[in-house]
Amino acid sequence: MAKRQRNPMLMSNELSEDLVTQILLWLPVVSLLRHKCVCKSWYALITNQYFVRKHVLHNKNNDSKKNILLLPKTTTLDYVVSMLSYETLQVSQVSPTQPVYPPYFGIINTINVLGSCNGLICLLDIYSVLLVIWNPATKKTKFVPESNPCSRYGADIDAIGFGFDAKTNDYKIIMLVSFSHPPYEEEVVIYQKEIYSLSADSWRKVDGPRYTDLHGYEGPMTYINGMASWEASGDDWVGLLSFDMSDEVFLITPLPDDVIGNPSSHICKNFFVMNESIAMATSMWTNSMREKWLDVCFDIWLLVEVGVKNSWTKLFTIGPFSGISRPLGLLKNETMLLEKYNNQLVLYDPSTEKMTNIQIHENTVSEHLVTYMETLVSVKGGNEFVDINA
Amino acid sequence: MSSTLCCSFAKNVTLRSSDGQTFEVEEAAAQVSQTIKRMIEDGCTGSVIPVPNLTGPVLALVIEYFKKHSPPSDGCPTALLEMEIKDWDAKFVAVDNDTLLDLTLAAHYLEIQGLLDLTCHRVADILNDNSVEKIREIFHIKNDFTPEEEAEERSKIQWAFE
Repeated sequence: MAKRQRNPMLMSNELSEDLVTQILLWLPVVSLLRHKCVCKSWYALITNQYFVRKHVLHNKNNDSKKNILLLPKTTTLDYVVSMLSYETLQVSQVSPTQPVYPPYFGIINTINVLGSCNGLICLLDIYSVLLVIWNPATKKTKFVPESNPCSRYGADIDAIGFGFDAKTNDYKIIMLVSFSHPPYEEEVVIYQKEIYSLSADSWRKVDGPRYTDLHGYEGPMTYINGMASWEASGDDWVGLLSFDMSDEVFLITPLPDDVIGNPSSHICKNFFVMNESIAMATSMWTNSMREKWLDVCFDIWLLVEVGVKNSWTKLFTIGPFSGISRPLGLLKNETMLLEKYNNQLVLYDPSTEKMTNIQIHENTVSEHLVTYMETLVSVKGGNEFVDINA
Repeated sequence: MSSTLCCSFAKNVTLRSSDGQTFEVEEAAAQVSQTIKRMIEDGCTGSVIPVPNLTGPVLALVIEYFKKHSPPSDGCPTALLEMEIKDWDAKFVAVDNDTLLDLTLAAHYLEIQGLLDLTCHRVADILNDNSVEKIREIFHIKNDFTPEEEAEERSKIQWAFE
């Protein structure tokens, strides 16, 4: 074919901003950071909040961008973060990275992962109540200022969650804290709910259910679409307590009767995220089964609507398994992520009933698991490149 | 068979490129382009639909894409067919950079979402594999940073270049 004539209208240096946006949306974060240096218009585009949000939405619709991040529970200096891909089921290591650098990192021994949302991860050092918001892809970290009640003597954090308020495009931390008042007196315990807004960079009080109605919180937060949930119970209910990040209200979802009904059995349950909904895995041990507790089946439930007890739907049952403590997630092609009693993570393919051990960093004893995708979202709430490069 | 019936009654349209080449294609196939679909629906097309932003060779490629992606006459595409189309798509955009950019612009202008995703993804793969300098060359982009500005910007995210 003869060399064709290029139409001057189609010269590639006339790629419209819209078209450049469409192309850049497909790039991983590290490339986008590099490509800011191509020219001033690309710099302006990539650092624009509108583009950052579009990139988040683009990645959300793309299964290949979805991962489960495995974060160590201790902050040794060789802190290694691993990533399990939803699509390829492969584990890779996140390029060397630490949420906080020495001297902070050497001091903190145990770190709790509160949650992950749009590429931001919220970490808590339980003992010093140091809260950190971290974007592993851009390697930016922000220390959250201490809340008022937490600075009181004997203050306890009863529940804490991290999430996104889509209405105001803000990231928030919700904390339920209790302390005695006056200090050192046990009789009067004050339960307070405080919310932190990343864009305002400050804490304020919010209303919530009377805390004494609850029998305490167990387990970590489960996060879906602007809603943080914890396993909780009250005088007359057992289930989930959820906080809506946008409307700033609490919701209670009791567990289905089938799960809490039988008093002669003991039920183990845990919660995880499945297809953007809250899933619950339950295993029931009757007395006769308790002797052979190693063989356990799990019922997988899905909560269709938070706050609606009747919307719990039993999806399927897996097992019996030996040595499996709990299911943790559903990946591509119905593959399930399971955890053994020795903390080993395994992938389970229900069609072949095959189990595959997941090999992760050798020094890692056990990990926090969060769903994760890379984004450019700023740990400062606003436009990072404008705000903090100065 | 319904598909033969469909074919015998299929309506054709003629597309004309900027350099005056004309191509005949099934109307249903051409409507993979939202722009052409709107023109046909609005009835603002005569016997020939002008596509002034595309040269003949590019329009010929786009028509190949139309034919492969025209809605199947017998209902839902099978998984096998979808896989075959995916393979075909991958080969379709394995072209030189200039042709790829022409196809990207054509997909954008003609509002062919599938082709736009395909070409943009492919261009992004090229961006991902190349240095900032090489990208400027491929895309004919002028570097309007001063050397000082660029050095400063790079130093802030040195790790991203390693």
